[in-house]
Amino acid sequence: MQQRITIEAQENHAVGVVSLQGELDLSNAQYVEDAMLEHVDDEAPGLVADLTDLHYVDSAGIRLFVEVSERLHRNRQAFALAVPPSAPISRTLSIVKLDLLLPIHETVEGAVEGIVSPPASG
Amino acid sequence: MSEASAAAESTARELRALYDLTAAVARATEIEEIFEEALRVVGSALEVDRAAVLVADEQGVMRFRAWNRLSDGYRAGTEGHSPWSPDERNPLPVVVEDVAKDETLGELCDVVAREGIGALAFVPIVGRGGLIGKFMLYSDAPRAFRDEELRLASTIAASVAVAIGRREIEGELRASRDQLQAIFSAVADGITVFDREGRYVMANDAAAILSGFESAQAMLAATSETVLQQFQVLDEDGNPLPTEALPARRVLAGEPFAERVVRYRTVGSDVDRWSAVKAAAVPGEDGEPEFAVTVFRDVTAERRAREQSELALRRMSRLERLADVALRATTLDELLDELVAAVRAALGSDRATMLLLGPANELVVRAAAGIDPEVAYGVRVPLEEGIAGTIASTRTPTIVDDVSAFEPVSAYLREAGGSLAGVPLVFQNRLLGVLHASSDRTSAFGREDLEYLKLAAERAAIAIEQARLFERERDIAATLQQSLLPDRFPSLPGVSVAASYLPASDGARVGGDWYDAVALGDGRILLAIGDIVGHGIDAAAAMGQVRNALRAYGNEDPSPARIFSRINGLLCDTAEDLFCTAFCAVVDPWAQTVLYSDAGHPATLVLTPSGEARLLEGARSTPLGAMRSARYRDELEQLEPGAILFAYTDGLVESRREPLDGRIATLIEAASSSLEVPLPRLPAAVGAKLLAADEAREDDVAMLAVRLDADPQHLRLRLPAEARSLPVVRGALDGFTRRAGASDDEVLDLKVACSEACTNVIEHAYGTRSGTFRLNVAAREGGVAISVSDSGRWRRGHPRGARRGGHGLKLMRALTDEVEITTGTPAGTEVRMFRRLGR
Repeated sequence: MQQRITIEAQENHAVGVVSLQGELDLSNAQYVEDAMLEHVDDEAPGLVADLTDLHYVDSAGIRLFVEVSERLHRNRQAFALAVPPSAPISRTLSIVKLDLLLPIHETVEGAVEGIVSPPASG
Repeated sequence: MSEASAAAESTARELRALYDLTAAVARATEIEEIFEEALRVVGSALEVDRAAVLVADEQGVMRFRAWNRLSDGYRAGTEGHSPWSPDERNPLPVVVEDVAKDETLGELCDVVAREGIGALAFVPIVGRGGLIGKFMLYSDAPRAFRDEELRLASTIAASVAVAIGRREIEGELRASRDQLQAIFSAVADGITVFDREGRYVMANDAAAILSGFESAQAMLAATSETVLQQFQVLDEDGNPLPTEALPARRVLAGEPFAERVVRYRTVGSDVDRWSAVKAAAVPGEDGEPEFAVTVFRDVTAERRAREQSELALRRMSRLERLADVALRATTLDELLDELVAAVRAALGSDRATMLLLGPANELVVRAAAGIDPEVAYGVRVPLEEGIAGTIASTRTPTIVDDVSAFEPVSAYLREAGGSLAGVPLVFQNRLLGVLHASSDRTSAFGREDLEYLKLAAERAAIAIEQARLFERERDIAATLQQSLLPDRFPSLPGVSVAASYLPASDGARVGGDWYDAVALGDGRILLAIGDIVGHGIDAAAAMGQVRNALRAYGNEDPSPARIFSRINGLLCDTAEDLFCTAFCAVVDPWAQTVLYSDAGHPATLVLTPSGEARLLEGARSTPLGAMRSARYRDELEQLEPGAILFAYTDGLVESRREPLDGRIATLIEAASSSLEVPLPRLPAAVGAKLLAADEAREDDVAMLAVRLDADPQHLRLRLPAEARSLPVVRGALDGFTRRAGASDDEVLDLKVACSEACTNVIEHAYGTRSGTFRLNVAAREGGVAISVSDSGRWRRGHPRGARRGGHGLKLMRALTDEVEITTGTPAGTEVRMFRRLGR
């Protein structure tokens, strides 16, 4: 079936990076969630979702990100998003204040860095 | 004239020229006509002084086939030259900008310069099997050739390649049709006489030819030993046959007479032939056999025909192709008519008649020569009654010396009186019918006449069986094609669709025209129409493949040009000799745009409600499957509310009586004046105006009309309450809101807000039941009003808890200026939103 989204996976400093390209909504959220979790190694420190080329996301996608984040946290793994400020979807994410629920970085490198060497939390 | 409009005019001129050429390719009966037209097109579209077309002959040598203003000396001096090697897979144009300075030409330089040529370009003509010729452009003065010029020349070369390819296919068809004739024409028997040592004493020309010699003289110089060495001799099943088992050897070994069918293969070839061999011994003075007289007849054609019939019977259910395409077009009636005429002529009889066994176990007169068809055709004879009935039921070749003495006898025979010779037609032990010849004279037929009839009947039975198979196959192809041509379309959002298909007049051939209209996952509509070159099951099957590929590729990547590129690759990769013209478009009913590409197909017409008409001519390229390197591009065009796209195949505008230009003008006239006709009847109405009822239609015709909904101010959709409706909603909103003047950010905001409302319906309105929801969008008061309504009851909250449930409403409120939710009414729930634009 046609998913309207392409998922590419790679690794950066042992952190899984999945790039979501296309549109994410209720019609493909389950597919995307399964695909993302498939790309996290049990031993990996965490996962980064690169949303640079995600042209559309709504509350179904946001729900999915929160869900993935909680799943990984239970396994002591981190989850972060990479969203350039110029990306049209960044407005949608900021309206629901998603950055309060999980870390959002402007670049993939920043997101990986945040997982590999987390800022001292006091 | 401004530079831009000059460029536009030159593009228009090129397109016109290309279209003329495509039309000429379709129309031409002689290949030379196409070459001439190609030269004419080059002359009108490019600034060249002369041009020529060369095509590689069987030895791969480039030969001039058409040219203008080139001297005999020049042609003789340069013929055969090619800048590419014959097996070059991807030859590119070669340009010599200045003949005097360029060394590319080598020793040809002088010849070219003497002809007064200052610059030239070699443009390869690439067909299915690689390089097949070249197209030459000449300029008297040195000059460069622009990329666009070379591209146009390459496109023209591609059309020429298509034409040559088509000629080859047609040539093959003719060749296989000739094979059928060969089955009926008597082949001279080969006769040889050789002695105990295998030395030939006598041989006729037929024997020499059948044995691979140029003449009887040459054969007499050989021995049977050396002749046999050239062949691998097999029995009918293909097992090696010892020399002693050959009829001639057997009679030399003492048998008085021997015969068998021998299968043989020339050493080094893989083609089998069959020969029916009979041999008789001629005793010498000692009473021992001294000479073997051998009579043999090549029965390969019959064998193949029989094998094919058997094979086809086995394969029929799987729709596999039959080897002999041409025979499909030969109707059984034609075949029978030819056969009785041949029998009558050969026997010198007054009449010849063919009766075939009908469904009710009756013999029916199907063909007759020398009898008024009004009297004879359709006459029924019960089995076991009359002369024919008796011949059939006893399966016995029969001579009746006096017809009037025979009771009962059909009226048409009794009236004539005289005598008759008749034989049963039997194929694989099945009775097919009776063939008989009759004469006004009594006792007109002898044994040899009966022998001839037996022979004719034997061959006729095979051919009849074959023709029946072909007719059956054609019926299957027709059914296949009809199943691929929807006469009704599912309701598609935002458009209305109608189509019409008219088969060719004679009805004997199944054409390759097809069309399709289908909703894409994002709510846009994919339209396609095309014409597969070819007929029969292959064409119908290819049509199915192309149609399926279009649907599949269209959903993956809705760009007509990229869809075409992929199908072109597919067709070029498969060994099938198939190509196809096509027009493909993605219609966005909400943006009211059409994105289209054209692969050598007649341009689609746009009809506006005000009666204006124009052609979509912006993205023309070569037919699919004709040239691997073909490039396709998309053209986007804005449409008027209520506009109709009218696509058709070339059968609608082709006529031997009128030039194409005139036909297209007639089409535009006919279509523009038919706008009063309701859309479902529009294609038929246009067809009726263009296709004169009395004119035989040589080609089938397909027409597809698609009308955009006329109300540009409202978007109304009713969709299933399922997640797959969300992309459709967004696709429709995208087109609609952009047309209403929304910016990129505003379009995205409206999409998110609207999707949230729809997602709520999908998740909560109907529980596990299925249901639908309505989307109404209107452009008004400087903004966009959206209403999403359902007829279900929302269940409060979300299974996953309120903590995550609030995002949807939060987004709707943030992204629009007004949100109003009316819930719990008997009618269900409605979410209304309004968003100002440019706020």
